[in-house]
Amino acid sequence: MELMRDLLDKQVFDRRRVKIGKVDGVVAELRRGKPPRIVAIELGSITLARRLGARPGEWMAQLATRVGGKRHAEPHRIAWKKAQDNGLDIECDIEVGETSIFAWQDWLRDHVIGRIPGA
Amino acid sequence: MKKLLEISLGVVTSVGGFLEVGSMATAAQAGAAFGFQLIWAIVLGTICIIFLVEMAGRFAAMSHHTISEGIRERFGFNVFLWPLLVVLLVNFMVLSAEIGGVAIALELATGIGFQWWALPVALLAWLLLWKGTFGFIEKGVSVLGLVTLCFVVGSVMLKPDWTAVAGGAVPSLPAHDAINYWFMASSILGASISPYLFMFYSSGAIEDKWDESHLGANRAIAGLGMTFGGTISIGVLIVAALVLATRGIDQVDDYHQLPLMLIPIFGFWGFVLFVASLAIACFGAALEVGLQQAYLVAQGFGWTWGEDRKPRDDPGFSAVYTASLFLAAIPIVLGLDPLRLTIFSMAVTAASLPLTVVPFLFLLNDERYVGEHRNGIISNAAVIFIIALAFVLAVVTIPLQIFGGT
Amino acid sequence: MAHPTRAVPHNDRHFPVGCLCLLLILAGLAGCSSSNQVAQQSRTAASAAQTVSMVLDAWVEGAAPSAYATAALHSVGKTLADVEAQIRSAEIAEPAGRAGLTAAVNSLSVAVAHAEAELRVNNRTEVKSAQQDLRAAMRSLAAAYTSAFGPKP
Repeated sequence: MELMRDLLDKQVFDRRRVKIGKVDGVVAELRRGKPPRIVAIELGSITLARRLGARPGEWMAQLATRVGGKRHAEPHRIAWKKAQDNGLDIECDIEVGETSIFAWQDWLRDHVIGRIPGA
Repeated sequence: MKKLLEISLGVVTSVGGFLEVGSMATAAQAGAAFGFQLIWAIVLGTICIIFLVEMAGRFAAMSHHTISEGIRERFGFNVFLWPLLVVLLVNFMVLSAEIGGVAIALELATGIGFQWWALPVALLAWLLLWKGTFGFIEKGVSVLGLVTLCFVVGSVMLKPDWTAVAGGAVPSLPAHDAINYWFMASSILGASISPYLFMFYSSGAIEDKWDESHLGANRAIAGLGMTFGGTISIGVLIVAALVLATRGIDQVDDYHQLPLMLIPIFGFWGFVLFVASLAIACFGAALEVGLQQAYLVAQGFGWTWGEDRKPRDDPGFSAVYTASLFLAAIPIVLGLDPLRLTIFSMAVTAASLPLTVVPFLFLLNDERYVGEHRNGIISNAAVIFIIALAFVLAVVTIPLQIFGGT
Repeated sequence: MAHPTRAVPHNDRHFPVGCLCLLLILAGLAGCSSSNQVAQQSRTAASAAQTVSMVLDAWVEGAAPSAYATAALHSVGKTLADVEAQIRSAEIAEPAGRAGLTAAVNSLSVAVAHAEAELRVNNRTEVKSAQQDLRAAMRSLAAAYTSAFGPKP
């Protein structure tokens, strides 16, 4: 399976067809003599920054920690066994509310967007 | 019957997209300076955008993904970053110019300086995006935008030599001011082939929930709609040529000159019609470009997006258009001349085209996205031609601007 | 054992590119020779003057609001002042020709300023008289242009 083509940067949905992000990164286990095995997909700004280089990845991790706390120092991971590739998208058998993927969006809603009348 | 209504609405929607401050300003400048000679640039730009818009719509209808999403998914984030950043920047300038266009119209109408109008205009645009739905915005702007037909009516009333007009549709070499001529040609092409236009169109197709059954309507709307917009632009050019150039005004570099185009035809109503046309066309474009900034970012990062949703349901999306509108108002508040900004942003658009047009060649031939409705020979030939044109523009526009632009 | 010294500059890879850029810029600037600039500025002044003339005609007929007309004249007035300054500072081979153009543009500025002042107080008769001054100034500009550069293209 061509990782680049089939998995990376695809739109990810949760169990309820809510858009939760794109496959920003893939975690694979390297095996001797066999093709790598996909363990999980990763979402989030830290993963994206790492794709640009090691240093941007570090900066983003530091920024995330400073802004959100230690729990945000690692990117969001969804186990591969919970994911299903259906052509153009990836559907995951999770509830986005149970993860911290929307943490920043919730913050934005509660502190900025939600405070403006008519939201 | 319903499809017919949809098509007519779609056609009229081109007013907010195609006809805006950039196409009006470049057409007026070209008509004043070179008479009918640059009509071919508008025709060429219109033909190119027809192909791009049809492809953007077909892509969205078949794959239920937008062009922006397609670029990231097909080419990866590292490649997508380039068109993302460049288009965000170009759109910012265009958005600023559109807000400036509305502000100028209000200054002409009230006498109060355009700098004072920038924030109120941004606020009104924001309010419509915040509370309105996609359909409401689409239809409202389209219907109001019909006022711009005054340019077509005006050009007919001036009884031009239609053979000369047709002659202008054929490319020709300039008799004077060659650098200026080619700079104007490239600005017209930048005004006609705007990335925000075809990207917004593909987002709109998803908002309107298009599917395979809409492919015929898509072709009709792309063809007729862009032609409608292009015709109005040509109307502006003809009016400028017959009203301004004939009176010795061959340089349009002051926005106060623009209302003069319609006054000799319609008297005081000409002034009113011009102000209304400018305000409505630019406001519609401001809504579209503002939305497109949000679409681009949200789609690029996979967030929830949709103009019909309440802002609290897509906070990232709403935050982007909110920030875009108010940031883009700032240059106008600070007094940057909207006409100069417009011409400059059209040139920069032209220079940035390769980044957004090259993906079309790949996306529209990828059967995982468009199924059996891949590009035929004609569409592919058109894309290749447009890509070549885009590269030429990317190379020549900035030097032409430095050495010849106003 | 002596190492052969490098006789060429270290950045000889950059040299051709820099040379090319310089040539392009020079070529561009050559197109903007002084007398070309003066000609261009004069044409700008002529176009600006026609704009004022059109605005005033429209105002007199009641087709243009006063606020707009005043603002237009004010803006064009600034353009004319700018053109005058540019022509004055340009160095061309025929100072006599330049003096003629400067004088013409100056009389245009004066006529426009006069018209603007009369517009503000709504004095139709005086505005019409300013229009006459404007037309006279436009004729003198055209004459000065022709004598300096030949007929307009």
